[in-house]
Amino acid sequence: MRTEMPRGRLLGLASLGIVLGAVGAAVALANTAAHWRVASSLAAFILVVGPVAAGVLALRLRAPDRFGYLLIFMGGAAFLASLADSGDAFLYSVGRVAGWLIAPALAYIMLAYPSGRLARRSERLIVGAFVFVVVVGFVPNAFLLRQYPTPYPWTTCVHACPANAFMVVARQPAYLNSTLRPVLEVTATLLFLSAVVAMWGKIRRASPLLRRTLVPVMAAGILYFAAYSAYLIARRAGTDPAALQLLAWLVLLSLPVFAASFVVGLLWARVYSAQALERLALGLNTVTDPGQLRDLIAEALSDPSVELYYPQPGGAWWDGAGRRVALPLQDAGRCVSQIPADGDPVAVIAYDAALRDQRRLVRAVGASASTTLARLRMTVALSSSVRKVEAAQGRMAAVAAEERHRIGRDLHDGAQQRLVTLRINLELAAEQIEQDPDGGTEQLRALGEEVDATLEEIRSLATGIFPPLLSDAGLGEALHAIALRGPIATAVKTEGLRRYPLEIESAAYFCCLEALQNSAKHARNASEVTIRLADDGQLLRFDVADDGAGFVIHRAVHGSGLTNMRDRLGVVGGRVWIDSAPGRGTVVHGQIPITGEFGLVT
Amino acid sequence: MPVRILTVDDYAPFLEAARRVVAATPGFESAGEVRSAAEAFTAIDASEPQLALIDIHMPDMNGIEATRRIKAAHPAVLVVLISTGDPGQLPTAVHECDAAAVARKQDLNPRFLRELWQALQSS
Repeated sequence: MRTEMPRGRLLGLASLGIVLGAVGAAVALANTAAHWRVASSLAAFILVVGPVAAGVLALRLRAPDRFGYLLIFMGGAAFLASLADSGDAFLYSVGRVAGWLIAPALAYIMLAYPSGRLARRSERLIVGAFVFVVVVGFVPNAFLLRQYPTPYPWTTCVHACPANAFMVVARQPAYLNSTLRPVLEVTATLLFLSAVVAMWGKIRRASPLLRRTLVPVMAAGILYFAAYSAYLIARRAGTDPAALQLLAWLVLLSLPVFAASFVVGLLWARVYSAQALERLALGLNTVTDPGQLRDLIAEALSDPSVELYYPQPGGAWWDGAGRRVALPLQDAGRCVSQIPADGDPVAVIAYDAALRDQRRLVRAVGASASTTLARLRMTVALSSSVRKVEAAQGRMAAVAAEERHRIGRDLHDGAQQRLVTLRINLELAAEQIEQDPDGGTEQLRALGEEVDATLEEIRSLATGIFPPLLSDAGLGEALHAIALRGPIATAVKTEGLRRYPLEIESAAYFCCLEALQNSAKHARNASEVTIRLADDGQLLRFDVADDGAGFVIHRAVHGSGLTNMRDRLGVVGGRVWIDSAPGRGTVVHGQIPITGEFGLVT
Repeated sequence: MPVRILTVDDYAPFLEAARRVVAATPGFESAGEVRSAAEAFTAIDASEPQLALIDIHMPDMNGIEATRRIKAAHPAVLVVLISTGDPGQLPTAVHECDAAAVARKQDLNPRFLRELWQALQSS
């Protein structure tokens, strides 16, 4: 959490800038020829105050601190460089040496903007080379030169300049003018030009969003370095000083222009962010689904490819429609921002890598959307649950319809047919009795047996739908009754069993029945089945265990039988699971909550 | 002395059939056909039958509970519980209350009635 720069310090720095600017202007006033006097002193003032003001503003606006201090440093260097207008040898020499510091500082600011770091190796190389050349090449010059090279952008003197006050040797070495200076000038020119190329590359790589802040700043820097290269070349070529002076003004003025465009860039970025966040905040009120939120965020970031992903229990990630997504993303053209930045993520924003330099805005957008995101995350989980419930309901409805169809068919094909035949035979018997009373009576008795058979059929059908014993006497007795009729020896053990509401007893009964039937059908070599029911106060538990061959669970096909059991128990809030292993038999476990919504039968 | 039989069942057509069976069986007389346990208690208190045929499944009170109350007040009355279901599918409580026997409704006819009475008398 960056703390506010204390006002006092900012004011102090600003005042220092103004004072230094005034001093520089005074030096220029005192030492410049009349026709240049006003222009020079004004230039000196602006060259100091401009960068310092921009630096103070940058610190105030909390841009990465480096920029603020660097700009102030540049203002200080500009002040020192403006001392080159002085007639005093010492001040003049100080000014000349200080002038060399401006180029590395400028190169660094340019190439590190806006993040404050030099991201690419080429950039680090260029800035490093600048510093190296200045320290190793130019600074030693100060001890060897008799006269600094003129003309020079920072001073108006051409022929009557003061001598170098730092000279330590007796004579200026011959190689200085013949070899060293040309080499240094060429090196400097090459460095300036490579800085220009690097800046151009930065603009081209930037996101459209960033380009708008970058272009003015880079343009000023490009102007400085290009103009300075031209100046050096023109000076070496011996161009007349008046034309050189024009280039010199260009070099000088690009510095305040740079400072101004830096401030403009900062302000513009803040205005843009503020507007984007304002639109986002206003829109968040009306968001009702993940799709809308995504659109809102995409609009705020001007990135139509934005996607939102939500974490689910178990480490999976889902998109807005409840579909699974694999994170981390495999695509190098995408970046991901976690919301909130620290702690457990509520969601992540995946956005185009071109916005990499707008990370702060993305984080701000994420933070604003954070509550809405938490709310929507629950909606997403809910719609997933709703979908599951709907699917289960669909299955249950299908099963119920299928059962009803079967019952109707059984009634029609079985009982109804028998009764129809019976009706016919009764009529026949009625007629027969008139002629042959004994035969007719015999016939009627036979029809009585037919009725018995029909009764038995209907009774069996009714028991299949809902066994009367279950509602009469409860789970224990009902399961005991089917245990007696099964092909495998089955024992029923109960513990604390009571009566429960119809739907709970029914769910448990039919689940156990299904498990029993599965054991009879699939458990090889099963000799014994045990059904256990227990009530622990909170849950009605049951398990159906057979001692058959068992099976490997994850490879078995989960037939509709298991889904059926799951659905039946799911409707009453229960669950079912199977334990099995080859050689160890199979156990079907089930449990149903008996407190809470479903209550207890008294 | 004819044996007096009370029939208790909530399904009217069965009561009518039972009445006709009793009427068609010599030596037996109807002590009434009632449609609920409450009415049965009233009828038994008014005049005690020798045999009561009581449906197991009735809306106001099931047959088993009714049997208990009747036997508590009138121990001499023989109670036979009747149902449409398979006797094997009946709750064990049926066999634990003091009913003398369990029978299927569809088996009811004069011969069955005579045989039932004989069996009850000999046990």
